[in-house]
Amino acid sequence: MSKHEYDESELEALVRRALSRRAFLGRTAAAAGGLAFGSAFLSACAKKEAGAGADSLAAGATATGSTAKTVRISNWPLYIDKETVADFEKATGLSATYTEDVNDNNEFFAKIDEPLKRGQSIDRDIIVLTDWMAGRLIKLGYTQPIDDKAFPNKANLVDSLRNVGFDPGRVHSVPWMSGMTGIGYNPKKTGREITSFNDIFDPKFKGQVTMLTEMRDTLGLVMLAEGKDPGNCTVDDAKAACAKIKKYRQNGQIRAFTGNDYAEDLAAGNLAVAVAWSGDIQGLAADNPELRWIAPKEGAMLYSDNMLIPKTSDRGALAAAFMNYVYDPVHSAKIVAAAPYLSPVKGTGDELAKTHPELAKSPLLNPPDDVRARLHVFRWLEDAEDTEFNRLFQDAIGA
Amino acid sequence: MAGIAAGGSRRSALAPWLLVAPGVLWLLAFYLVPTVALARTSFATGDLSWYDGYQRAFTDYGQHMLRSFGYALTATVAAILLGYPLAYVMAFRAERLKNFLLGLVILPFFTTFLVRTFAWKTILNDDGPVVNLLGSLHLLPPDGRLLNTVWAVIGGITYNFLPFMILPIYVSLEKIDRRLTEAAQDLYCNQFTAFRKVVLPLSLPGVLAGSLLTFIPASGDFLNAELLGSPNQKMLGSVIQGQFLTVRDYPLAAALSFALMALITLLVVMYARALGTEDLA
Amino acid sequence: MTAERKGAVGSRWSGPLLDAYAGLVLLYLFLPIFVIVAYSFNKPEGKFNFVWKAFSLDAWKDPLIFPALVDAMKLSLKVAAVSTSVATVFGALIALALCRYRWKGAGPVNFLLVLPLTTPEVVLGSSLLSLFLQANAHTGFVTIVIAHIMFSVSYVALTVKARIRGFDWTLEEAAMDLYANPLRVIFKVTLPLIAPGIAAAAMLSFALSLDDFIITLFNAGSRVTYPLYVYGARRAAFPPQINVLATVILLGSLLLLGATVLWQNRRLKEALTGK
Repeated sequence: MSKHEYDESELEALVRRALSRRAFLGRTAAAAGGLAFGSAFLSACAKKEAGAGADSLAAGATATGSTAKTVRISNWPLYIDKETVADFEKATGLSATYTEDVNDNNEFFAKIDEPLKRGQSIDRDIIVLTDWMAGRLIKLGYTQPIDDKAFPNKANLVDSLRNVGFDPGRVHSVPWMSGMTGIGYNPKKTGREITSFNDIFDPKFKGQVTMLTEMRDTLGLVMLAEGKDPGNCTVDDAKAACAKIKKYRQNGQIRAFTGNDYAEDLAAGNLAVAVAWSGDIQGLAADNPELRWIAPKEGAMLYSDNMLIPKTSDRGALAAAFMNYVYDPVHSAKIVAAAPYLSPVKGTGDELAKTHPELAKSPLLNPPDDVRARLHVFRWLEDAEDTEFNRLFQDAIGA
Repeated sequence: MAGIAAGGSRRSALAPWLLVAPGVLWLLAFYLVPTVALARTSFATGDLSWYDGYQRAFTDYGQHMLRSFGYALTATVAAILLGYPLAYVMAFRAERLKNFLLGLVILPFFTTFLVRTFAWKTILNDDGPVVNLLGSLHLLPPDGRLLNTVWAVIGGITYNFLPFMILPIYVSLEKIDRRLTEAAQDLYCNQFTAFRKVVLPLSLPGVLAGSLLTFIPASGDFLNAELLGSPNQKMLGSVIQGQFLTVRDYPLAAALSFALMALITLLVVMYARALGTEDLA
Repeated sequence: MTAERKGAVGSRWSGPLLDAYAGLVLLYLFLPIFVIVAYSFNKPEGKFNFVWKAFSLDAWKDPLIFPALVDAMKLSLKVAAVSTSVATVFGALIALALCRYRWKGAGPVNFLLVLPLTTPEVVLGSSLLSLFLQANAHTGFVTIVIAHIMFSVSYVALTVKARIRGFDWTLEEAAMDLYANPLRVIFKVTLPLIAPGIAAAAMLSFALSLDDFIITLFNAGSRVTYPLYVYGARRAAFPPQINVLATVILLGSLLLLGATVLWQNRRLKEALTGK
């Protein structure tokens, strides 16, 4: 579930491993066609360079001298400015490896669950996961506390996010970015303005509507439309909401349940209305200026993606240094300009107004107060509840 | 079928064991052991009875199972109808181009599944040429669509498993001795009969192999349905994936997996019997 | 494509019809490929590449601007090369053993071959990961290759079997009368005759390895293969560079294929005319 976009039409994956020379060597070879069989020989040479132990069956990661000061970050795609990591390295003298390999909370969790359970390294010092998944990791004891001494800029965290149920006092996590889930629509296809979430069930839009596979976002919005508060909901509320979803799925109203894919369908004109993340629509604004995103009048969902330090990381101080860097409003503004979401850092709005005045005015990056007032967060679910809610939701979206 | 190597009985009976040893040991170590370990979790459900997972699997998701098998079967049949003639032409009618065509058949599959499927999404787009063509031929209602329907799903499955059907059929056709077909033509005045009585039976091992390599994975497939279908086409593979990764109900997930495996194996054995081969493949 | 060869069944009957049908099927196989290639010349203004905007060579001028994509492609090719080589050997040996001998192990081995095909990929992937972790193994290139070999063996064995079934083993006997050395028999008689089956199986295995997602996801650790990259990136963007790289691979393979075939045909002609 990635809901992030850049302004530029580039997918910047700043994967800089300690052995980036390999990329350069390989580039010329790759440029020639027919590399299918030639690269098998390349691998024999390249493997010798892989000193970081990534290719060996040796237990755990071996940190050689040159890589011991590298902070390894896993984040969602297109969630950063392409220069941020380089700027961080220049400013602090540390080195960083930034990989965009978080694509789905559940998939990422499935990958790291077993190793962390056994106390084995996952080769990462910072991982970025959504609230509910962050909470799960914290509860399972997979994370380590953040070294506040190396993180003075933590004071810049906005007040509304200082104390969350899953991490009181923000000991184990700090938000990277926040986003809003609401309705994205194409006025040309709908023929009118959309203000209410229940418009999604309008028979006129039959077969042209999608919802998200992200349970908390979709369920939360449906609950709000029924007048229930997802911050305080019961299993019965969930059941009612799921029943409603199931009904409209079975009668063909809802065309599909998607991850980010709705963006392409909205742009292509296959869809009229979609449950959508604010950042996606903002990102599509350049090509498809007619698309709109609204927070439904009954309420919209707010979520955050949070930075966590795995308990097996031996570079907590470096991780804190990186967090400190991005919690400087100047740097945060730069990130927001590239990845159009809500920054959790105080003062970012002002910095952004200096560098990107037009962008700073966008209600998707700087929501007006009446929108902020109707943003809701899904409540924390214990394990058994989480399973139950998920089961109900899975049944609703496809049986 | 031609006889066994005469040397086999004279040589030690150890030979076949030695030949299969590397592959079989690999499968035992990296397939059987881990999977059996997983099977245990489908029985270890705490206070629930051991068959609870299986019970739920069949009652709640029986529909998905039937749907998955239905789609897989349709796709397999479609693949035979599309693939056999192509394999035939490759084996019998294309002399110097034979290997080239073989390469061509597999070539599209060097692009990733996702890239291919996105291309299909573009082709089958609501405003695309295919939908417009079908609309003008009145095969589709005016506001009809191909994407997110069962047709797109079956089309996707068929497409993605076509080489798995073509290649085995091709290799079994290609080795048919030409002298047999010549002789057949001398005996049967009808080409079609010659085909039916000589070529077809000899190609059955290929058809069987191709059907297995298509039907079995297709039953467990779910990505085609997820990308090209609507939620009402959800296949069992999706359910299993969801139960494993999202709901994390491992007993149910494992039960679903093993139920799927058992059912497929059953169907496959029946199919093999029907085709008259002694062994599974 | 029509070969008026003696004994080619159907050379007189609806031959052209059959050819046309086969041609259509090939076209169907390549339809998405044409789209992929075409869209590598697209100039999308946004993140995705679904709607045709304008013709442009921009993506071709900068095909390697996403180093992660290129790295992922290289990794996938390496994994595929290694796993295909090993799986082909394992699978061919199994197929040989199953068809050549009548032995009581054949049934169970057949069964063991089919089982992995029936198993959902998420099961294959996650259970294998558990095994690796229990053995304290570091997930990365080697674990990916191990996994790929595991699921490829069955495909190879079944495909080669389809070739060997009905093989006339008396040829081997006759050859042994002439050569008297079992090893030479294998290399000069048996292998050449089943070679097409092995080649086809190898190609299948290579394609499978390039395409695998779920099993690789679990066992790749921090490495990123081409499918992993594409699946991940597509949620955010789908730049035309992906199409460009895919086209390059296709062209390269096509050239390789063409060259191989030409060379083979030249050898064949030499062999025939040399006689």
